Amino acid sequence: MILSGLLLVIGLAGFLAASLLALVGRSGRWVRASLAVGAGAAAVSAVQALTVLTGADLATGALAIPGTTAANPLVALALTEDPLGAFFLLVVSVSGAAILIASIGYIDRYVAHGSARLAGLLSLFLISLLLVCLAGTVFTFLVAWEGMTLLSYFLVVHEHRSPETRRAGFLYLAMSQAGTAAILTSLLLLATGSGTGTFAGIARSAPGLPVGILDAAFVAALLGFGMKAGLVPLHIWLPEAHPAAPSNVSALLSGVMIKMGILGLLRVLFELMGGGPEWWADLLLALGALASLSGVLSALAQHDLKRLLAYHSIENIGIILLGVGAALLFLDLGDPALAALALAAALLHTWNHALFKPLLFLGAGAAVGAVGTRDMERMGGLARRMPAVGVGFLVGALAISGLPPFNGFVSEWLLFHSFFGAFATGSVATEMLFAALAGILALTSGLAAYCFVKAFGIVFLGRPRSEPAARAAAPPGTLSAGMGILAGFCALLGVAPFLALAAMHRSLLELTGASLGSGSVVAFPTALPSPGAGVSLPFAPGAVALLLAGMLLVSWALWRLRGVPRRDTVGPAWECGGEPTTARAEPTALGYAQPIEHLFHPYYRPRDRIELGGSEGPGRAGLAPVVGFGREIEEPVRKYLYHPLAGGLLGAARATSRLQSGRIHAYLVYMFVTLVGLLLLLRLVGGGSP
Amino acid sequence: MTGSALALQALDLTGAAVLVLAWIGLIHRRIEPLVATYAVQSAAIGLTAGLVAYLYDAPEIYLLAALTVAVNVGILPAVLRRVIRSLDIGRTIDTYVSVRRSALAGLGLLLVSVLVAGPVAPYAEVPSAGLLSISVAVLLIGFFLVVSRRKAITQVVGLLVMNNGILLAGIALTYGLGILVELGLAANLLVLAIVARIFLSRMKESFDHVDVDALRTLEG
Repeated sequence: MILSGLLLVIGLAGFLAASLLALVGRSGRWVRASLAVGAGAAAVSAVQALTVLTGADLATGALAIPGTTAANPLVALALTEDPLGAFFLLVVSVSGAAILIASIGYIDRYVAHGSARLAGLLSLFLISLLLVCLAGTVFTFLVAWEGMTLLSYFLVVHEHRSPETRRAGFLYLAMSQAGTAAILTSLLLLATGSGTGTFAGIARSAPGLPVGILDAAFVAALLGFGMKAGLVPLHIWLPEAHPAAPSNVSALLSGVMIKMGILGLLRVLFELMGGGPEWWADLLLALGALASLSGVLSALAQHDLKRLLAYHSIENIGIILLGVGAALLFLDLGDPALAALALAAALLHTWNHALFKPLLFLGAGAAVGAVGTRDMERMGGLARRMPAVGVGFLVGALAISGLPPFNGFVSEWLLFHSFFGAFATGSVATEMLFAALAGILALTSGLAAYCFVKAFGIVFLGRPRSEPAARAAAPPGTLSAGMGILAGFCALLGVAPFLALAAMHRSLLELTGASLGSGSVVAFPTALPSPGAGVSLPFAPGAVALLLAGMLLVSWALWRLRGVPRRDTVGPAWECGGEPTTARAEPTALGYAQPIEHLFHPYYRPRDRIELGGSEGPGRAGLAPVVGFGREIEEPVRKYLYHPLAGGLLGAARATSRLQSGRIHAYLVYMFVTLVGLLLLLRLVGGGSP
Repeated sequence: MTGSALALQALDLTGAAVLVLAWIGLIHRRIEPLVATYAVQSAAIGLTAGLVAYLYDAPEIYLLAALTVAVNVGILPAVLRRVIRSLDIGRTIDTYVSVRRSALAGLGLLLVSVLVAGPVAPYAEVPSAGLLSISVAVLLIGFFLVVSRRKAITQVVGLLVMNNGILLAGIALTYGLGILVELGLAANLLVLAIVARIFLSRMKESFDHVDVDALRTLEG
């Protein structure tokens, strides 16, 4: 308690010092120093999270901020040390440290202006993330949440000279404000009757609230936190804002910030309300399935590398939500062990995504920075030009596709197992539900793998598709180092996921009343613990890693023994006697995604644009050669939900502004008409004689 | 015929006079007769108050009647006339709604107030022919004057007419709103007159006229 409090203060002071260094120093050296100090502070925060997670004296720990125990308990400021917050703090600070280290090189090389401002804001943003994790009262949480939203807005609009960025920033800010309003509603509804603003106090009284209030609070929380997490159909800011930001910021937003929505949802659903009726879980599962499938389908159609990654964030949030919804459902069905398994999958995937998504975004940042465009069709062959980035991106791509021996495989595997576990306990309807969900999850992972074959293959393999891609320079060493840390964690959690399970042991116990295994690290070094009777987890990630390593070794040995030529040999060109192969002969991203687009045509509804040339030629009107092809895909929710909504809102605003003529007289007339109207209404509605 | 029966009949008469005078206020085309009509209406209200005081033997209402006559009949019209003369406002009333339509609207408002106040009339303490309806009608007609006339001075008169309606409602419901409230109202009216005077002179200085159409800077 004392140790972790001390570490907290050191971490906060470190971040503050880091932002001051950048904002006051302003020059390149100071910016680099600031980012290094910030990374150090993040490391201290990670250690703090570990002391809380392994400490003996927690669950009651609350750090009141001196002088803020206000007369009104609703506005008291206090931090808490609970296992869930500490777990998310660990997630934030590990990724944060790696991203800050990578930012040293990234900002140095690719950020043209305002680098001091960017670096200073990054450290401040990490403070707000840290406070969101540790907030112990409603008021503290909301203040930290708003701070996080505003700082992230400024980070998103860093390249504010481009109108596209400003538009994305505005959309993000507007939607975030609506989301915060929903969160405020939810938390205040839950605080009614508790007489306090602390989460611990609300958790004692909230489950006894009337069903209507709980339902309303659930829906409001889902709207508010779902907005931040990028839940379909509240996600439309995400594919705009994340690509618009500098790539290190995208890494932080996509990897870390949207997880705060998950944290908030877990806090409200499990900690404050202690579970809920079945339809909540069903709704979460449906939304999770929708988000994962539509996220990956939209990602497949993207040829803007960063937008592609942003859509994958939506997909992964959907997968996490599937775990959360399944946990809620299992709790409702009275099976805490299975609920713990599903929640463990969700939490593990949360951490995993916080590791491989920044890794991918940093790799994309290096590629985009070197080539000067986000269009994948202009890249290619970058693995040769920047091998470290290529390896890092490959690790991230394998992890996000759910392939062993990386971490993405473990969490998806746990999730599948919790789904299969439902067959042991549930009714026929539950079985069918989870069979369908398992199918959707499998399809999602498959499509994600397909999509990352495209992303990695088009960007890093083959021949350069443009002049800048051919001349791309390797990024600074610190960027590769940051990516290396993230890739290392991806591999570590893939081979030894019990480390992460130990970190979330207390959270699982607190939220579901059960956990996986005893929570000690040494108890299960190779095989994952079994959550309870009836569910077995026949999987030893360490063994899988060993097996893979052995296979690699054997292939390498065979390759050596079989005498495959080790040096390139010059032979006759076998290229139809024509010129050497050029980039034009390579498959394009558009072409690669085409079969899937064709298969899911009803979802995409693409608008194709075919440019014909030479149609003026004599007698060749019908045979004009195609000289260009483009395809526009608009997400269905945009067309059918947001366009009418935004149009209606603007129309209403315009109609209202017509009322505001600015003439005193007009206002008097309004008052007069209202008065007479109300009097008549009173007469008509209020009935005749009193 | 006893004195009180006679007084009751007289009460009906004064009530009707207040209503008719409010309506006449709508059909004036010049400002000075409008002010004069207001003065006469105020006198009728003073008379009503006196009759109520006599009928219910409530001596403090005599004070109210005297106050009404002094402020609403004496001081306020004098102030308004001085404003009109010193600021050279012009003699005509410019309207947004033509006089003919205003007169029709006045009848409509009377209908509304009868509809609205009818059901509550039995609660009034003074059992006279719809004093309550009349007071609501006077209030609405005053409001209509405010919204349908262009010059700021006519709006001031409209406000004063509204105030007369409130006064009458007070008399009808509770024999007066209580002497302290009445005193406060009277003081308010005086302040209103002073503010209106200052405001009008500033407006005249700035725009060289007192047409409220000039006040459009609130536009957002």
